[in-house]
Amino acid sequence: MTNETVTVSIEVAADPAIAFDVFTSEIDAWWLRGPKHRFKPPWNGCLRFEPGASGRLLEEYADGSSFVIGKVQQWKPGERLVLSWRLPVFAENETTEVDVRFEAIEGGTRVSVEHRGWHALRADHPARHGLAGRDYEYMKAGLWAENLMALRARLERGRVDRR
Amino acid sequence: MESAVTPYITVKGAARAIDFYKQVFGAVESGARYTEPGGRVGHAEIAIDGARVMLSDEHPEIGVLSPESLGGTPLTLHLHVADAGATVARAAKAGAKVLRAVQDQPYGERSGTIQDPFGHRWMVATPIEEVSKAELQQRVGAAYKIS
Repeated sequence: MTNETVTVSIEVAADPAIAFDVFTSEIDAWWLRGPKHRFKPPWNGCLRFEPGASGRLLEEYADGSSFVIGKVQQWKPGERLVLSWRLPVFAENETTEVDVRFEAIEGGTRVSVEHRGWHALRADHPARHGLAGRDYEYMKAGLWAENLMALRARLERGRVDRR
Repeated sequence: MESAVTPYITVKGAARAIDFYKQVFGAVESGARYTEPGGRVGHAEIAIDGARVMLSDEHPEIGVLSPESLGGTPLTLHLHVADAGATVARAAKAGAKVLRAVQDQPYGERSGTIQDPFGHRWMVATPIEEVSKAELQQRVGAAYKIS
Protein backbone atom coordinates (compact mmCIF):
# COMPACT_ATOMS: atom_id res chain seq x y z
CA MET A 1 0.00 0.00 0.00
CA THR A 2 1.26 3.46 -0.88
CA ASN A 3 0.53 6.67 1.03
CA GLU A 4 -1.73 7.77 -1.82
CA THR A 5 -0.06 11.15 -2.22
CA VAL A 6 -0.64 12.47 -5.71
CA THR A 7 2.17 14.48 -7.27
CA VAL A 8 1.91 16.16 -10.66
CA SER A 9 3.94 18.98 -12.17
CA ILE A 10 4.03 20.95 -15.38
CA GLU A 11 6.33 23.57 -16.89
CA VAL A 12 4.72 26.73 -18.16
CA ALA A 13 6.14 29.65 -20.13
CA ALA A 14 5.15 32.35 -17.65
CA ASP A 15 6.71 33.96 -14.60
CA PRO A 16 5.90 32.43 -11.21
CA ALA A 17 3.97 35.58 -10.25
CA ILE A 18 1.77 35.34 -13.33
CA ALA A 19 1.34 31.58 -12.99
CA PHE A 20 0.20 32.04 -9.39
CA ASP A 21 -2.14 34.85 -10.35
CA VAL A 22 -3.79 32.91 -13.17
CA PHE A 23 -3.97 29.74 -11.05
CA THR A 24 -5.93 31.60 -8.40
CA SER A 25 -7.78 34.53 -9.95
CA GLU A 26 -8.73 32.81 -13.23
CA ILE A 27 -9.41 29.30 -11.95
CA ASP A 28 -12.92 29.14 -13.36
CA ALA A 29 -11.61 29.94 -16.82
CA TRP A 30 -9.07 27.14 -16.97
CA TRP A 31 -10.32 24.39 -14.62
CA LEU A 32 -12.04 21.86 -16.85
CA ARG A 33 -15.80 21.59 -16.87
CA GLY A 34 -18.42 18.88 -16.51
CA PRO A 35 -19.00 16.08 -14.01
CA LYS A 36 -15.53 14.68 -14.53
CA HIS A 37 -13.87 17.77 -13.07
CA ARG A 38 -16.39 19.98 -11.31
CA PHE A 39 -17.80 19.35 -7.87
CA LYS A 40 -21.58 19.25 -7.71
CA PRO A 41 -24.57 18.78 -10.00
CA PRO A 42 -25.81 20.40 -12.18
CA TRP A 43 -22.13 20.98 -12.99
CA ASN A 44 -22.50 24.62 -13.96
CA GLY A 45 -20.99 26.13 -10.81
CA CYS A 46 -18.35 28.82 -10.96
CA LEU A 47 -15.00 28.28 -9.19
CA ARG A 48 -13.65 31.23 -7.26
CA PHE A 49 -10.75 31.84 -4.90
CA GLU A 50 -11.20 34.34 -2.14
CA PRO A 51 -7.64 35.69 -2.22
CA GLY A 52 -5.32 35.93 0.73
CA ALA A 53 -4.14 33.93 3.70
CA SER A 54 -7.63 33.55 5.13
CA GLY A 55 -9.32 32.92 1.78
CA ARG A 56 -11.27 29.96 0.50
CA LEU A 57 -11.89 28.13 -2.76
CA LEU A 58 -15.57 27.86 -3.59
CA GLU A 59 -17.84 26.53 -6.27
CA GLU A 60 -20.75 28.96 -6.57
CA TYR A 61 -24.09 28.15 -8.17
CA ALA A 62 -26.66 30.20 -10.02
CA ASP A 63 -29.18 29.84 -7.17
CA GLY A 64 -26.82 31.65 -4.80
CA SER A 65 -25.65 28.56 -2.93
CA SER A 66 -22.04 27.45 -2.83
CA PHE A 67 -19.77 24.57 -1.91
CA VAL A 68 -16.57 25.31 0.00
CA ILE A 69 -13.82 23.15 -1.48
CA GLY A 70 -11.18 24.35 0.92
CA LYS A 71 -9.61 26.98 3.10
CA VAL A 72 -6.31 28.63 2.28
CA GLN A 73 -3.51 27.71 4.65
CA GLN A 74 -0.61 29.42 2.88
CA TRP A 75 -0.93 32.19 0.29
CA LYS A 76 2.46 33.24 -1.02
CA PRO A 77 1.98 34.87 -4.44
CA GLY A 78 4.52 33.59 -6.94
CA GLU A 79 5.73 30.88 -4.58
CA ARG A 80 3.30 28.62 -2.87
CA LEU A 81 -0.36 27.96 -2.26
CA VAL A 82 -1.58 25.48 0.32
CA LEU A 83 -5.25 24.78 0.94
CA SER A 84 -7.50 22.15 2.43
CA TRP A 85 -9.53 20.26 -0.16
CA ARG A 86 -12.85 18.54 0.36
CA LEU A 87 -15.28 16.81 -1.93
CA PRO A 88 -19.06 16.93 -1.58
CA VAL A 89 -19.08 13.25 -0.53
CA PHE A 90 -16.76 13.93 2.42
CA ALA A 91 -18.02 13.71 5.99
CA GLU A 92 -17.57 16.78 8.18
CA ASN A 93 -14.30 15.51 9.66
CA GLU A 94 -12.75 14.36 6.37
CA THR A 95 -10.32 16.49 4.41
CA THR A 96 -7.25 16.39 2.19
CA GLU A 97 -4.58 18.97 1.46
CA VAL A 98 -3.36 20.51 -1.78
CA ASP A 99 0.11 22.05 -1.89
CA VAL A 100 1.00 23.97 -5.06
CA ARG A 101 4.54 25.26 -5.61
CA PHE A 102 5.58 27.78 -8.25
CA GLU A 103 9.27 27.42 -8.95
CA ALA A 104 11.17 29.66 -11.38
CA ILE A 105 12.94 27.71 -14.11
CA GLU A 106 14.65 28.70 -17.35
CA GLY A 107 11.94 30.31 -19.49
CA GLY A 108 9.12 30.05 -17.02
CA THR A 109 7.75 28.23 -14.02
CA ARG A 110 7.40 24.67 -12.81
CA VAL A 111 3.99 24.34 -11.19
CA SER A 112 3.94 21.31 -8.88
CA VAL A 113 0.86 19.99 -7.14
CA GLU A 114 1.08 17.63 -4.20
CA HIS A 115 -2.32 16.39 -3.11
CA ARG A 116 -2.10 14.43 0.13
CA GLY A 117 -4.32 12.84 2.73
CA TRP A 118 -6.29 10.40 0.58
CA HIS A 119 -4.95 7.43 2.54
CA ALA A 120 -7.16 8.44 5.48
CA LEU A 121 -10.32 7.65 3.53
CA ARG A 122 -11.87 4.30 4.44
CA ALA A 123 -11.68 1.49 1.90
CA ASP A 124 -15.32 1.80 0.79
CA HIS A 125 -15.38 5.61 0.70
CA PRO A 126 -17.37 6.86 -2.31
CA ALA A 127 -14.58 9.26 -3.26
CA ARG A 128 -12.38 6.24 -3.99
CA HIS A 129 -14.57 5.00 -6.83
CA GLY A 130 -13.43 1.51 -5.85
CA LEU A 131 -9.73 2.31 -6.16
CA ALA A 132 -6.84 2.20 -3.68
CA GLY A 133 -3.08 2.62 -3.60
CA ARG A 134 -1.30 3.10 -6.92
CA ASP A 135 -4.51 2.78 -8.89
CA TYR A 136 -6.05 5.61 -6.91
CA GLU A 137 -2.97 7.80 -7.27
CA TYR A 138 -2.91 7.14 -10.98
CA MET A 139 -6.56 8.10 -11.38
CA LYS A 140 -6.20 11.30 -9.36
CA ALA A 141 -2.93 12.23 -11.01
CA GLY A 142 -4.58 11.90 -14.41
CA LEU A 143 -7.29 14.37 -13.45
CA TRP A 144 -4.76 16.85 -12.05
CA ALA A 145 -2.61 16.47 -15.17
CA GLU A 146 -5.54 17.36 -17.41
CA ASN A 147 -6.26 20.46 -15.35
CA LEU A 148 -2.63 21.55 -15.25
CA MET A 149 -2.48 21.21 -19.02
CA ALA A 150 -5.56 23.42 -19.17
CA LEU A 151 -3.79 25.93 -16.90
CA ARG A 152 -0.80 25.91 -19.22
CA ALA A 153 -3.03 26.47 -22.25
CA ARG A 154 -4.66 29.40 -20.46
CA LEU A 155 -1.30 30.90 -19.53
CA GLU A 156 0.16 30.53 -22.97
CA ARG A 157 -2.92 31.84 -24.75
CA GLY A 158 -2.94 34.92 -22.54
CA ARG A 159 0.80 35.53 -22.69
CA VAL A 160 0.76 38.37 -25.14
CA ASP A 161 -1.94 40.29 -23.27
CA ARG A 162 -0.13 40.14 -19.98
CA ARG A 163 3.14 41.63 -21.17
CA MET B 1 -24.20 -9.39 -37.44
CA GLU B 2 -27.52 -8.34 -36.01
CA SER B 3 -27.69 -4.64 -35.27
CA ALA B 4 -28.65 -3.67 -31.76
CA VAL B 5 -28.50 -0.84 -29.29
CA THR B 6 -27.07 -2.32 -26.12
CA PRO B 7 -27.18 -0.36 -22.90
CA TYR B 8 -23.74 0.02 -21.33
CA ILE B 9 -24.33 1.19 -17.80
CA THR B 10 -21.92 2.49 -15.16
CA VAL B 11 -22.37 1.46 -11.55
CA LYS B 12 -20.56 2.00 -8.30
CA GLY B 13 -19.87 -1.60 -7.32
CA ALA B 14 -20.20 -3.65 -10.51
CA ALA B 15 -19.70 -7.01 -8.80
CA ARG B 16 -22.55 -6.28 -6.37
CA ALA B 17 -24.70 -4.93 -9.19
CA ILE B 18 -24.28 -8.13 -11.19
CA ASP B 19 -25.43 -10.10 -8.14
CA PHE B 20 -28.44 -7.80 -7.81
CA TYR B 21 -29.42 -8.21 -11.46
CA LYS B 22 -29.02 -11.99 -11.18
CA GLN B 23 -31.17 -12.15 -8.08
CA VAL B 24 -33.87 -9.72 -9.18
CA PHE B 25 -34.03 -10.09 -12.96
CA GLY B 26 -32.70 -13.64 -13.27
CA ALA B 27 -29.75 -12.32 -15.27
CA VAL B 28 -26.87 -14.56 -16.25
CA GLU B 29 -23.34 -13.39 -16.81
CA SER B 30 -23.00 -13.78 -20.55
CA GLY B 31 -19.56 -12.42 -21.32
CA ALA B 32 -16.04 -12.23 -19.97
CA ARG B 33 -15.63 -10.12 -16.84
CA TYR B 34 -12.54 -7.89 -16.84
CA THR B 35 -11.42 -7.25 -13.26
CA GLU B 36 -8.36 -5.15 -12.46
CA PRO B 37 -5.95 -6.39 -9.78
CA GLY B 38 -7.48 -3.83 -7.39
CA GLY B 39 -10.96 -5.27 -7.89
CA ARG B 40 -12.37 -2.63 -10.22
CA VAL B 41 -14.50 -4.10 -13.00
CA GLY B 42 -13.51 -2.69 -16.38
CA HIS B 43 -16.19 -4.53 -18.29
CA ALA B 44 -18.85 -7.18 -17.81
CA GLU B 45 -21.88 -8.38 -19.69
CA ILE B 46 -25.12 -9.85 -18.47
CA ALA B 47 -28.16 -11.20 -20.28
CA ILE B 48 -31.67 -10.84 -18.93
CA ASP B 49 -33.79 -13.44 -20.67
CA GLY B 50 -31.51 -13.02 -23.67
CA ALA B 51 -31.34 -9.20 -23.60
CA ARG B 52 -27.77 -8.00 -23.24
CA VAL B 53 -26.67 -5.26 -20.87
CA MET B 54 -23.02 -4.27 -20.54
CA LEU B 55 -21.71 -2.66 -17.40
CA SER B 56 -18.59 -1.48 -15.64
CA ASP B 57 -17.44 0.23 -12.49
CA GLU B 58 -16.84 3.97 -12.53
CA HIS B 59 -13.69 5.20 -14.28
CA PRO B 60 -13.45 8.80 -13.09
CA GLU B 61 -10.16 9.37 -14.92
CA ILE B 62 -12.02 9.11 -18.24
CA GLY B 63 -15.27 10.65 -17.02
CA VAL B 64 -17.17 7.36 -16.79
CA LEU B 65 -19.42 8.02 -13.78
CA SER B 66 -22.50 6.37 -12.32
CA PRO B 67 -25.85 7.93 -11.41
CA GLU B 68 -24.63 8.05 -7.80
CA SER B 69 -21.77 10.39 -8.71
CA LEU B 70 -23.72 12.32 -11.33
CA GLY B 71 -26.69 12.93 -9.07
CA GLY B 72 -29.23 11.19 -11.28
CA THR B 73 -29.77 9.49 -14.61
CA PRO B 74 -31.48 10.68 -17.78
CA LEU B 75 -32.05 7.08 -18.89
CA THR B 76 -34.80 4.55 -18.23
CA LEU B 77 -34.12 0.93 -19.10
CA HIS B 78 -37.33 -0.71 -20.28
CA LEU B 79 -37.42 -4.41 -19.48
CA HIS B 80 -39.98 -7.01 -20.50
CA VAL B 81 -40.51 -9.73 -17.90
CA ALA B 82 -43.05 -12.53 -17.47
CA ASP B 83 -44.55 -11.05 -14.30
CA ALA B 84 -43.87 -7.38 -13.65
CA GLY B 85 -45.53 -7.48 -10.23
CA ALA B 86 -43.33 -10.29 -8.97
CA THR B 87 -40.15 -8.72 -10.40
CA VAL B 88 -40.83 -5.32 -8.87
CA ALA B 89 -41.64 -6.92 -5.51
CA ARG B 90 -38.36 -8.86 -5.66
CA ALA B 91 -36.47 -5.68 -6.58
CA ALA B 92 -37.98 -3.75 -3.68
CA LYS B 93 -37.03 -6.51 -1.29
CA ALA B 94 -33.47 -6.44 -2.60
CA GLY B 95 -33.14 -2.70 -1.99
CA ALA B 96 -34.63 -0.98 -5.05
CA LYS B 97 -36.88 2.03 -4.66
CA VAL B 98 -40.30 1.75 -6.28
CA LEU B 99 -40.86 4.98 -8.19
CA ARG B 100 -44.19 3.94 -9.76
CA ALA B 101 -46.17 0.98 -8.49
CA VAL B 102 -47.10 -1.71 -10.98
CA GLN B 103 -50.40 -1.09 -12.73
CA ASP B 104 -52.14 -1.70 -16.02
CA GLN B 105 -51.23 0.92 -18.59
CA PRO B 106 -53.53 2.04 -21.43
CA TYR B 107 -51.00 0.94 -24.05
CA GLY B 108 -51.36 -2.70 -23.14
CA GLU B 109 -48.66 -3.28 -20.57
CA ARG B 110 -48.70 -3.94 -16.90
CA SER B 111 -45.71 -2.00 -15.64
CA GLY B 112 -43.98 -0.22 -12.79
CA THR B 113 -40.77 1.77 -12.43
CA ILE B 114 -37.97 1.16 -9.98
CA GLN B 115 -34.66 2.75 -9.18
CA ASP B 116 -32.13 0.04 -8.43
CA PRO B 117 -29.62 0.43 -5.55
CA PHE B 118 -27.03 1.72 -8.04
CA GLY B 119 -29.22 4.57 -9.25
CA HIS B 120 -30.45 3.12 -12.55
CA ARG B 121 -34.11 3.42 -13.43
CA TRP B 122 -35.92 0.43 -14.90
CA MET B 123 -39.43 0.31 -16.29
CA VAL B 124 -40.43 -3.28 -15.66
CA ALA B 125 -43.28 -4.36 -17.91
CA THR B 126 -45.36 -7.34 -18.93
CA PRO B 127 -47.37 -7.14 -22.16
CA ILE B 128 -51.01 -7.91 -21.47
CA GLU B 129 -52.88 -7.02 -24.66
CA GLU B 130 -52.53 -5.65 -28.18
CA VAL B 131 -53.96 -2.15 -28.44
CA SER B 132 -54.66 -0.54 -31.81
CA LYS B 133 -53.86 3.15 -32.29
CA ALA B 134 -57.57 3.95 -32.57
CA GLU B 135 -58.31 2.13 -29.32
CA LEU B 136 -55.33 3.81 -27.66
CA GLN B 137 -56.58 7.24 -28.78
CA GLN B 138 -59.94 6.48 -27.22
CA ARG B 139 -58.30 5.46 -23.96
CA VAL B 140 -56.00 8.45 -23.59
CA GLY B 141 -58.63 10.93 -24.74
CA ALA B 142 -57.45 14.51 -25.04
CA ALA B 143 -54.25 13.94 -23.07
CA TYR B 144 -52.33 12.86 -26.20
CA LYS B 145 -52.77 12.81 -29.91
CA ILE B 146 -51.79 9.35 -31.10
CA SER B 147 -50.22 9.13 -34.56
